Amino acid sequence: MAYLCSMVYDLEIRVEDQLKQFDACLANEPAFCTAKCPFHLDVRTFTELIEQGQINSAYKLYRDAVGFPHIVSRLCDRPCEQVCPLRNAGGPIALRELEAMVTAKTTDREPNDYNLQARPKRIAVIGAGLSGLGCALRLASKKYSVEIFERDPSIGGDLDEAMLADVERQFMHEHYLLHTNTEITSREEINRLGFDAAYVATGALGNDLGLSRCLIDTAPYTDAAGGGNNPLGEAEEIAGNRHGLSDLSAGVGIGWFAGGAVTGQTGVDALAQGLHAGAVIDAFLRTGNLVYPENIMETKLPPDPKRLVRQTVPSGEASRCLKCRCDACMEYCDVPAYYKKWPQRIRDEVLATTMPGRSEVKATPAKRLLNAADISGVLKNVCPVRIDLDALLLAGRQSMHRQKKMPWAFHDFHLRDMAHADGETAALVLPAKNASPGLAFFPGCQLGASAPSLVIAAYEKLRELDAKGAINLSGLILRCCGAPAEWSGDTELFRSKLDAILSDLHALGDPALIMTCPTCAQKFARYLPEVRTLSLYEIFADAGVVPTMPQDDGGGGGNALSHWAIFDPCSVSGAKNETKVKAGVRKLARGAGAQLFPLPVQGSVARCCGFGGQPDLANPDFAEYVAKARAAETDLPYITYCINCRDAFAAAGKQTAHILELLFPKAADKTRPDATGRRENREYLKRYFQGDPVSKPSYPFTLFIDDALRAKMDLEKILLDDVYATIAHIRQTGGQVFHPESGVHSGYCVVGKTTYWVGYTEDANAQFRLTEVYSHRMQIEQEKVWNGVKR
Amino acid sequence: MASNDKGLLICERCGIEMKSMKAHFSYLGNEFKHDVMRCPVCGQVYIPEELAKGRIKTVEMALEDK
Repeated sequence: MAYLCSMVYDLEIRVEDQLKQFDACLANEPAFCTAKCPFHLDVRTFTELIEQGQINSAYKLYRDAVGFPHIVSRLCDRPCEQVCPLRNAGGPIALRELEAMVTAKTTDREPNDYNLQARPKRIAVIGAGLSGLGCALRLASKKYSVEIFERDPSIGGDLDEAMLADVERQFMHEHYLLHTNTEITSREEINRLGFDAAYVATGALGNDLGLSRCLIDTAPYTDAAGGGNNPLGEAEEIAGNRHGLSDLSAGVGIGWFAGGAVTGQTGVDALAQGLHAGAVIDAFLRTGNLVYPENIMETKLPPDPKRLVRQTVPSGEASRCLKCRCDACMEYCDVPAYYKKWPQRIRDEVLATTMPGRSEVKATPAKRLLNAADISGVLKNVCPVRIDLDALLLAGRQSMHRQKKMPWAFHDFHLRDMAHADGETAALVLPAKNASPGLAFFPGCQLGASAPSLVIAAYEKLRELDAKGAINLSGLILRCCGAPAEWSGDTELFRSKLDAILSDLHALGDPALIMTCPTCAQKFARYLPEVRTLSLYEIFADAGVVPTMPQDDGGGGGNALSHWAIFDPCSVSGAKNETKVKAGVRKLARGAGAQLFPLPVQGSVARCCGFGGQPDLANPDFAEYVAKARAAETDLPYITYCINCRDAFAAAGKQTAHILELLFPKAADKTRPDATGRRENREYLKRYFQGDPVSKPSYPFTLFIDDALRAKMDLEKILLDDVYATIAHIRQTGGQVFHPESGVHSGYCVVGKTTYWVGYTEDANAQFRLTEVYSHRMQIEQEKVWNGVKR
Repeated sequence: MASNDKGLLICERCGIEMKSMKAHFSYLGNEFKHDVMRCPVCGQVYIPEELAKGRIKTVEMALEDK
């Protein structure tokens, strides 16, 4: 069956289609204890502040949540402990003790005195128990006119002296009127006094002023002030209209609310309800809205047993706190971790950046981040709600490209590298002698650039298997899979690459492909799903391929070592044949004498080495950060099966071998080619398979370059071709500058879009020596007329 | 301000000393001027590495982020 054309596939993804998935992000879900706490204390921050020694800040956070810190730290019956994940692992965090500690130790006990304008609305609080006092405190601190009506001669019910002192302290900057010995027996009394809202907190056996009866008439009675979507206030509003009470106040009627023991809540729960009612009444007075949420917090936070495995010994009760939250992205994914941004923030920044409009009038906060990020598929694999950050980043890149706002420099080098791999000096479609639709070898463009001898050794082994009848080899294709085009956001370029691949396949009779590069395999699976692919490692493992040299030879790839960890490349993750590929590589490694040890990273998450998505041009620091982070996960050397991983780790100083180096130690080359050497290798590989392995690249003249400058060229991705082109250009045009003191000639040439500068000397024997080389992205604009002469 | 601490510079095409003069640059659709060493006769430009890796790099980064 002939393969289809890539036109069939929609390569475009839109930013707007990727946004909604981020709504499910659990990063902002409260911790279990916070959800359970009637005051919803932010325990993560609270314990963190204590750990940092910021006792005053911890106290303020606590006081703002609970209203009366001294009272709550003594009376709270610790519901948080029922849900603390540590309850079965050393005991729950002793939060109440921590709360009592900060309340005792703070040196800044006085409440804040906010200089707010007095608000004209009047609120009656009926009952001066904990719930009424909480409600009064919240409203008084917002500068409403609050009056408390208490049946008894004093406030606070059963509170002791120290607790009453706490009440006094928290009210020290607030004004309110207190009517003791004043029992309210009907709503009419309050209505008549012209209040705008009232909170009934008359205690366990108190008079509810008929509020519950009103509600029973209209809707199920839940928990009064925390009455969900059927608050008493709403009932009163309905009942009020029904009973003709709305004439007491112009516009909306008085809002009636109830809470505390009269509605069944006791102790600190009653206080929490009063504080909540304060916020509810404030909202009612500002908006007239009587519908309000219940004071119940739920959390969708998934249990994370990993948190119980501690990396460090806690140094106190606060540091025992696990700070429960969903942070799989921060733990496993480099983009959120490096940029210290949660997925929803990244979404917002990408949305702002990609919205149409000139950059002068809108922000573009993620322009670099979009392109300086790995596209590795890791987040989708580790996120409990499977947020696909990569899809957003790719969509963002495509959007930038469509809007012609993509800085060319972010992907240019890799696109030129792809053009080289697919160009006439490096690309090849080689039919096998007995070509028929069978299997063609597709080693990708990076393995051949890094280690051409491994491609040759692997192909020779495939031919051997073909000769034995184990496989039917129909040829070899040397070219790029188009990944750089996909990563650049240029879908048309990518489509042209996919079509070119299909055309190459057609030339070989549409064979299935043998892949070595997991990234190539991933692109085929995603964009050319009808092309059947197999992993070279599966084939070799099934065929029982073992090293061609004794293990103690030490001749290549560090295979004299026996203890290794397998580093699974990110691009293998989610592949259809992921399990088989991983198993195949492990079998081959063991067959090569390697003793394998697991990576310490929990589970088997395959992660990025910093290559995927080509972030290195937009932000070299990010790519280096990722490579170093991965390299540091174990002291063991790595075996990997992606040559980009090998090269990234080698650059980070980590001993790493490609699995093919273990299988073909003779072909393993310990030297790592530079940017120029990589192209020369690709060209060599093509010549080799064409039967001309001897000829070397030729340059028009001999140029001496010392090692330091070669290293600089490699780091800055300056190719020898660019250097030669620049020297030739400036000598030919005479556009050179001479430095008499040093004897150096300097000049520049634009290759592609980059401006390259060279400095060189030439001795009496016409020997050239490079003295400096650098480049910039900015273009020098020549005037059309200079000195009156048109140019 | 022209950046040159490499002493005398001679334009090889015209054989005369380069001087600090304005030159035009563009990047990502933005245009600007800056003083660099130029040949007063033919306009040949010289940008030393310090300038390329310093101010020019900074401006490039800023424009890429914009």
